[in-house]
Amino acid sequence: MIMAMGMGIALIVINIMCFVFFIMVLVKLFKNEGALKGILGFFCSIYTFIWGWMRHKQLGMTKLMATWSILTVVGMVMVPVMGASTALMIPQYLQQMSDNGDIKLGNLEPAKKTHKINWAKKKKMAKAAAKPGPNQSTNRRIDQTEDWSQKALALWQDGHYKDPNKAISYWNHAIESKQNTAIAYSNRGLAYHDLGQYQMAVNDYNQAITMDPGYATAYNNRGNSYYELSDYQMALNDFNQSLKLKPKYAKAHLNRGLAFYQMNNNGQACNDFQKSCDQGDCDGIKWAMKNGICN
Amino acid sequence: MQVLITKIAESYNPAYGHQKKTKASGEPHQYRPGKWFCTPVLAPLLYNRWISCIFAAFGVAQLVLLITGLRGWQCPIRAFLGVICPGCGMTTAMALLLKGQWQPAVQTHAFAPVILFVLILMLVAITLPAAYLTKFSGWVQRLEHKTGITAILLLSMVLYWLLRIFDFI
Repeated sequence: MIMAMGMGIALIVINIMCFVFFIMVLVKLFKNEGALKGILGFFCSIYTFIWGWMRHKQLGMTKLMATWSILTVVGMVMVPVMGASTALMIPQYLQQMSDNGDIKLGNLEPAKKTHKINWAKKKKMAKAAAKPGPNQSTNRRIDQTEDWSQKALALWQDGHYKDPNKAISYWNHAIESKQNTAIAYSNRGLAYHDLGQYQMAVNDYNQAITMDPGYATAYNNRGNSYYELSDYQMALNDFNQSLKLKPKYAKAHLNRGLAFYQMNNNGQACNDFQKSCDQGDCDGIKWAMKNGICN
Repeated sequence: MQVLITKIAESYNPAYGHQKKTKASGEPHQYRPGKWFCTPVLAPLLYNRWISCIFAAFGVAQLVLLITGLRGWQCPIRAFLGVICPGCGMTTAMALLLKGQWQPAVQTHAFAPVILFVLILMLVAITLPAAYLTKFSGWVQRLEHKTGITAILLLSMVLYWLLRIFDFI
């Protein structure tokens, strides 16, 4: 913990020094090259950096540029090292907090998920597409000044994004501003799903799964997109994997039941609808009983 | 010999040998409003092949680092102040553009297609033979000088940045 704090402080110091050096070189850039190149240097710090090295002898900035370069490289190396060490410490940290009674591990599970069911879409029946809500659990842990994730999550209402395009934009910002977690990709996938861009959604879920292979929600979400693409076998595989990772996952049971139904396996479908109901989501079994699919 | 030197000098500077200054004394310098506005910025970069190569290398390295999930070059303004700079989000937008995702790319940074075009110009400049490179950069220089396109783009980016930081976009 102390080491992580030390590295954090060191990184802050490095950022401050890099900023100071950047401003110093930028001022020289404005003075020597005029306003336009100064503006270019302002929004493209790489240009300022390269220009600094080009003119370091003439302007006597060799030491400054060398120090800036070293600090930049150190910063670039430190962030992944810090990320890895923090990730290794999180379980231990959570366990300590749990033991002390500060929080329960269960509290870190996603908030209660909402979902929507499209009962009237496909050939045999109205299709259901149960969706989990965007996961908010770990976003709060990300150090940030502009919380794009929270902005995007604010758009999530009644099982879908109020404005999916805006949500995509916010998630893009979130991903760009180092909040590129599996959750961010999965939640952006939901926005693409809402827009009907299912293949884009699948791409995002793929990315989320690559980043976190144990992310049951991402498998469930990808299954939903495959379902909408009428690729029921792939959907079924994903729901199976989701349930393997998280056996008591009501939405995944409901979705798998729908996939089974589409594959003319009503017995398995009813079984899954029932399990989903046992876990608190009875929409599937109610619908199936109403339509005479299950007894 | 002195005559020859004088001739050569005259060919460079007509004022040499005539004992007169190129500008009449006491005459104020002609003031061209907005002269800075038409200063070529891109043309000198394109003309210098090495600079183009360095920029292209930085750009490619940044994209590769981003795509592989590693930390690339960090904007010092955002890293320290936490405020986005006019160029923040550009690398992500470019990566999206290269994947063919135009809409998310433009939503991430509206100027991504412009910068992509500039990068393409740089790549063209790198590969051109010397004679064509001079012509090409000269053409860009004239364009910048006549239209002030670079200044317009840079100032538009600053305006776009202001709209972004105050959450209008």
